[in-house]
Amino acid sequence: MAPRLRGIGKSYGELRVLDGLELELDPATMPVILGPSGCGKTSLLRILAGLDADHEGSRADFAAFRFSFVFQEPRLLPWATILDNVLFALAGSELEGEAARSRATALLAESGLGDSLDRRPSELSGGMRQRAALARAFSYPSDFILLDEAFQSVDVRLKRGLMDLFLELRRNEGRGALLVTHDPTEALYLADRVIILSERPARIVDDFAIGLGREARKPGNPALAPFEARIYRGLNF
Amino acid sequence: MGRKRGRGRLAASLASIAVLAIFWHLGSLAVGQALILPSPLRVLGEFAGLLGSADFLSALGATFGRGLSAFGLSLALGGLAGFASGTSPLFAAALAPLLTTIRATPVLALILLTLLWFPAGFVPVFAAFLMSFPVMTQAAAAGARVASPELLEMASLFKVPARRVFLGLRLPAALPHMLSGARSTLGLSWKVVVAGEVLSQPLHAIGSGMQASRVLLETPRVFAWALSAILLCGLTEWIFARLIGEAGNHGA
Repeated sequence: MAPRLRGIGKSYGELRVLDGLELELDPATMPVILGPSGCGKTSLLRILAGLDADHEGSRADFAAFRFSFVFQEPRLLPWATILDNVLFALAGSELEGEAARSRATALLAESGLGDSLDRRPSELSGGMRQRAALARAFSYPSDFILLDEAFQSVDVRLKRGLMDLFLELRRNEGRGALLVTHDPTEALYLADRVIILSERPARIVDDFAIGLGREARKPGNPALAPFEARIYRGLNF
Repeated sequence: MGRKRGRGRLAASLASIAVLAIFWHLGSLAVGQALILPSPLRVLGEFAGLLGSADFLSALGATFGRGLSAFGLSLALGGLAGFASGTSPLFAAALAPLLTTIRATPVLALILLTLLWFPAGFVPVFAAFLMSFPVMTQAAAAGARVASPELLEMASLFKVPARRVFLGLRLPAALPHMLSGARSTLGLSWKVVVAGEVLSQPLHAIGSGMQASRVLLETPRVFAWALSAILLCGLTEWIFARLIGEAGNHGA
């Protein structure tokens, strides 16, 4: 049975952000949570990961899971090499020494950064930095990868490359994942399942599967049109 | 390109020293009494004479040791106290009155007091440490506060252990502030060490040589001792700057 969030609610003082969210996450599918900016998507991720205990409802099903993260900005240590950046995160796992190093090196190579292990973030392009952030998240031995607007900081062309890399790494590494974003094109490209949140306080207003294969996800494919229309309806466009 | 710029800077520094020496020389000609203001050439002659004496070398070595001891103490304790106060508001509040008191205490009063407590050779070390401790503490505290909250959050999300966060994130982030504080501390340490030596009169010390020459009205020699202190300070600051440059090339 897939793990569930049950009756999740969250307020910051008088401000009600999340309200009674019920969410079942099957690690085998790729859910994308869509919602307007500031609706509480990041708060939901933090609760899911167990970083914010001050909420209503239960995340007990997720207590035993481990999470790794990809943020909107790469969040790399500017003084450290790309390899050392990944090793820094791996220090929080049970991987040590040579095992950690070979894991980090392999994932960076798989992400197209095999020639850049000794370069610092300032020596890389924005797209390469975000690739390093993806490699860091996948090299960390987690059950779920949580992505917080992770493809927002790059242009459309790079975004496509990053999303392809993410899909490839996920296929090879077999992890559960959850992306929160405000961009419908990311959901149409990546999601097996789309969950749409309302404005604050966020409630689930729609939740549906996109049963199309990878090839059918190319922008402009007429088969995507009904899903796109449903997303924009859910977002009140 | 870099070498050319380096040569340009060296030429500018040498030109500024030359201008200073010319004004000094003109001043000494106007005064006309070596007892009050000796000429730069006369001081250089005295300095050359000092260089050959065993007393001078042992004084130089002892002052060098005191300066480095004071600097090392300030660096270690000031760095630790600064880091603690930069990361803990409670510790910062507890430390603040002590730092304010030290900053407000005149250096001469401090040296005179410590003369009552410590042997002559240690007075300059203690006084210099005390004077430079707040400088280093403040720099390290500022450095500890600049660690990016986003990076700290990333470390916490990946459950990176505290020791690794300190060594891999907080310390490198603080390094520029700490090095700048260390540089100020180094200069201050030399000044206070020599002032402390003038008053405490240890057996071997640049300050003691300076004071003895003053008592004997050997003004050119006072200048020569002062010149040796200036050169010592300048040399160590230059070495330190080079070390910072090397660290910058290999680390942050």
